[in-house]
Amino acid sequence: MTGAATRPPAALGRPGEVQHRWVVAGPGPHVASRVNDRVRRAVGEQGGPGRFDGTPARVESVEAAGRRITQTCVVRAFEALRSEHGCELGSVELLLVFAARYAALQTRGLIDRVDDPGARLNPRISTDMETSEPIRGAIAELGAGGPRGALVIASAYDERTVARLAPATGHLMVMRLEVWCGSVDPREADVLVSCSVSGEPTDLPGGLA
Amino acid sequence: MTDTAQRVTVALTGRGLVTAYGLGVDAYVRGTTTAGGSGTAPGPVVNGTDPIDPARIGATSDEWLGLAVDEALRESGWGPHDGVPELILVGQSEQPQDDPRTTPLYTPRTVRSSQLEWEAPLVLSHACASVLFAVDLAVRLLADGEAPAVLVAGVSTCNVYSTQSLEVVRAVGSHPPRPFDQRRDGITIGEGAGALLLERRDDAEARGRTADIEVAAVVAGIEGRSAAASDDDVVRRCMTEAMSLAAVDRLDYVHAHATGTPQGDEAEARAVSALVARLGSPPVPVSSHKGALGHLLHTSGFPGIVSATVALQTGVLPATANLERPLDIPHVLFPTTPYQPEGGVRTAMVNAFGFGGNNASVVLRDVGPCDQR
Repeated sequence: MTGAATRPPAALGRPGEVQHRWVVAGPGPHVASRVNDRVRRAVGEQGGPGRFDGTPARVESVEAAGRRITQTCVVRAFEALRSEHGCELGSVELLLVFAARYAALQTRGLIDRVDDPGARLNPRISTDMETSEPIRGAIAELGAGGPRGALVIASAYDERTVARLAPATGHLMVMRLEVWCGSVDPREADVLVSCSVSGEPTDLPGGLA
Repeated sequence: MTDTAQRVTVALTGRGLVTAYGLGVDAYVRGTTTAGGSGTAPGPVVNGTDPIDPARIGATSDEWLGLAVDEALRESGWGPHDGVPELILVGQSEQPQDDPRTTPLYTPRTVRSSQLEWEAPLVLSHACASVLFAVDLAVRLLADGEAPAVLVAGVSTCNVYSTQSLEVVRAVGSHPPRPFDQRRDGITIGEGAGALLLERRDDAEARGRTADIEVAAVVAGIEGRSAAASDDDVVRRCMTEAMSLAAVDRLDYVHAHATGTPQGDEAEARAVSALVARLGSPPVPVSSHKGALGHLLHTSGFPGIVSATVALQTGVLPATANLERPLDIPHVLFPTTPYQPEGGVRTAMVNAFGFGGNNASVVLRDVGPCDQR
């Protein structure tokens, strides 16, 4: 894999204020190709402070990840964010995962497979349909350093929800798990993982400030 | 695992349910505390692709969600003048804009009750633990004081996609389901709908409502070594953390997730056993509604939570239907008929576990005066 910082690390803001730092992870070297356009297409139209501003903090190109492509992308995004912010993921009280397109694509994958009399269903279609599965895999891969809790929202990114949860949560990380290709096969979809963080620096180990 | 319930006192003030027993919480309670729940006769379990007969319960499946929401609002005395509760739907995925197909796997973009309407609600997707995760989110949202209340709702109907999805991982068993029975061999898929209204206890009392069922703790997290199998250590830790956060040293009842699978039921029962041994308390009764209703998948938490609240309100513990030869596990009782423990029921735990490492436990506490029972 490769990784290149394109923007200097930034400290977190005030407690409860959400800082948006985009980390893009995808399969193969092409993730860096036209990344700005692709990310804008995936998330930009939703607007608000979380809107992609055209400069990702990191672009992670994940090679040969096989069936665990999404999990690997999530891990790389976690690691990149840790590097960017210097924070320990173990201090993240709540990982809020928005995965509208991803969840819909996985669900459609099952529906198409069952509706196709010539297709064979395999266990992976069933287990991978749960959006939490790549998150579980990533947390397991990170071991004790993984986030302490996670909620998966299978609807569109909701800035108001994020803003409401931030003050009530000691250390919040927001991840947007998006896909930007309209493939009917989830395994062929590129994955965009973006993270934002909020928290009280003095509460956290790892020198966030 | 997260610990949200310490920051705000949240009460469960409204419940709605549609099950194979019929419309409403009362129909479910009657069914599970009489013949169907006794363990001596099978309940009206829906068998996979054999759905509930609309003529028998008086409503078609596309009406269930609205009916469950209506019942929850009615029980809580919530009217349009109280505002619009935040709605969290549980399900697999919201309906994508570019897929016009109608399928039970997609949650509706619009939800209507008799008096209120919601557009594009939040959709929470945590497999079969979705309802308990939604309760976790509800407690968090109530903490900021902005939402007047949070409504958690969902509907699950039998469909070929869910059935084949479970068959391919060899989780489906024979009919009827037998949670905690030595002859259990897998899940039977059921269907139904549910709704829960949660609000800050102070707010509920200010509205003049009794708010005796308190959400004392929620622990919900994504963790585990396997995509599909329960992880004994994670399950035990989930329950232990929930008890610790609730700051209670007494556990009177556990409404288990137990679906009837050989591995999952035993892992959960052993985790309860370890928890009870740690508490140093007498054996704790454990039962599951899935012997009576089958597994409602994303919405299975609704009958689970309702069962626990009814136990807290009436002091009567439901049995597991179709349970004849219980597992032999120390510190755990598996009632085969409904019964009323002498010491009463003040604290109950509800568990829910799901594919993708979803694990959740909720501790509910009866904070009403003892002499009401």
